[in-house]
Amino acid sequence: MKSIHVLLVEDNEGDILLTREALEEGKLVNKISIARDGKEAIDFLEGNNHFQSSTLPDLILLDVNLPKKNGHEVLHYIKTADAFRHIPVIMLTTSSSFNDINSSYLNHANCYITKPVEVEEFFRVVLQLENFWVNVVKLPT
Amino acid sequence: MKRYPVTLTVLIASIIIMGAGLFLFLRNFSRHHKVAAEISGITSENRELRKANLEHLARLQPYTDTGKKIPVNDLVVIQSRATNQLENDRRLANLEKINQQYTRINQLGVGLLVCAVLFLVGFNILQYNRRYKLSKLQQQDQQTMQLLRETIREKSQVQEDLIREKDRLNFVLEGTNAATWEWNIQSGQLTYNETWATLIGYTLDEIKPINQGTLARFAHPDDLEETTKKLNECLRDHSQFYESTYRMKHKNGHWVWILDRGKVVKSTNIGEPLLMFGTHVDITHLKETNEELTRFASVASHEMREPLRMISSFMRLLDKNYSEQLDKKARQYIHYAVDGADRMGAMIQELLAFAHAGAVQGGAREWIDCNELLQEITIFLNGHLEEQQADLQIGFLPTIQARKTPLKLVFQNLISNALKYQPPGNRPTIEIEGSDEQTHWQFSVKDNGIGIAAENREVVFQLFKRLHTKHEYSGSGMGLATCKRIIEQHGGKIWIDSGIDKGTILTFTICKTA
Repeated sequence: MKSIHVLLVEDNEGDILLTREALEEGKLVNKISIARDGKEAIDFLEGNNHFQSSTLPDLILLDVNLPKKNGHEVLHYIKTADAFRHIPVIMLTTSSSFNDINSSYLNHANCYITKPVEVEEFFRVVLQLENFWVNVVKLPT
Repeated sequence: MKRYPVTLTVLIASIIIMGAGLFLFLRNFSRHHKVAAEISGITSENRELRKANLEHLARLQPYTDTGKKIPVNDLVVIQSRATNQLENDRRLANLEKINQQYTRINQLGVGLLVCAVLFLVGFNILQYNRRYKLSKLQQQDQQTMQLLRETIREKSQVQEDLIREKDRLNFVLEGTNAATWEWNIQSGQLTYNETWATLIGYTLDEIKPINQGTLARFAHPDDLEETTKKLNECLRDHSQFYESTYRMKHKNGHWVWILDRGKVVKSTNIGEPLLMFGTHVDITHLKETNEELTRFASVASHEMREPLRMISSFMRLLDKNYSEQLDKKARQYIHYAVDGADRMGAMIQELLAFAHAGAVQGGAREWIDCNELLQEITIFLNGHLEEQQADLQIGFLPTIQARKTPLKLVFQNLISNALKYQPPGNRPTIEIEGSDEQTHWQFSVKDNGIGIAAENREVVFQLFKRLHTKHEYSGSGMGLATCKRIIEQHGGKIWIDSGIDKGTILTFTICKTA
């Protein structure tokens, strides 16, 4: 059994709960860390402040609309930092705007997913995502 | 003017000559006759005398043959007869001479008469001819004068009209505060009015010299290329209006949005543009308001979608994970909550589409083959079409210039409506037609659905207007409003022809130049 650690960067408590429940339903992820804004996400990765004991995640789920630093800034930071740029970043957001999508890929996002509005669909997508990144893909070690 | 152009003197002279001629002729005519009668009398008398003498001589023949002497009596008789005959011959010669004179005088009289008549007739003809030609000339002169008078009157009328028109135009321009420009394309001379300069905070004197480079000095460099392109297009085909929107730098440093419109008003005989006239209108405020509205609608619907998704998601989760602990009533409550949230979600989605449809920068127009576009839409709607076994007939459609995504939305909405508003169990038949008109393209979408009553044919285009309950036909009331907005953005119109139970015909136009 693989041990997968996911960092979820999301400010909406409802979405955090939904994503967590969906991930747990797949039973493939055994650790979920939460960052509630862009700055917290960077702190988490760098091990600043109260994240000193944190380990690097295997996968990052990143929202675009975030307080303090938005998703694009966080993405840019991750993909330009030698220590973190190997970590796959999955953009998971409600936005379907071309600007957001194009700019994400230009900044080396690994994939971009628009959150489905329907909860069943949302669960299905998260489960697929989980299955793909855990069972199909070989992650760097 | 006299109808008989004969002068009195000529007439009197002619009559005197004629009278003289006639008098001579008549007088001599009777004399001549008398003499002629005398001549014939004498002639016949002579003939009888000769005849009598000859007979007498014949009777005396035996005397001559036998050589007998002729009696003296007979000789005397014959002698007197011969003498009479000689006398008569002399008279006859005399009379003949007189008669010849009479004949000559007679001929003279007739000649005079004929001469007088000929003279009169000839003179009259000559005179008449002269008068006729003169009257012709006079008539022509009068016509020319008349024409001249009319032309002068017309000219002055035109002049007056022109002045009045110019005044009126000036009033209109002043009243609407329109900035104008006038461009002599051949000489390159460009004229702006004072308002033109005022729009960007200058006076006309301050922006001198005015030439073809003036605009480039103030226009935003990013907008200039597009504007030049549009202007050149208009110069190539100057039946078209020129229209462009661009930013110009105000004296204070900010950008002013200008709507620039113009037309070639005069061209040379060979069709080269000569004079172009146009106006500038400051649409900054309009542009900002439009953008704000669009941004507002876009942000509002994005922000609204989030909480709504939470409501519907957790309601569904509640229903899914706790349905065993809930009774039937609670599950019904949840059902209504989810249903409401879903409808609102759909509405927000369409509000977003509506807002984007109204965006001023809705993308540039491009050439679209509507046949291909409809094919794409048919594939997109295939599920619905098959489900209802719809019969979709698409005629040959023109290739048009429009913004693709909004236009696609219009067709999609109209076809979806045609599929949706059908009597239960009816098999939808949809006919789509298009044509290339002179100034616009026209399309119609015809269905065999429930139709729209005449009194509702305007209101259905209003935002959120619905004619049916959601149980009868679901919908957000934004489809047609969105279509209308898109069509109006394309300078077109959309309207409905329909009767209850006779289906609906939705027709819309796309303006070629707007």
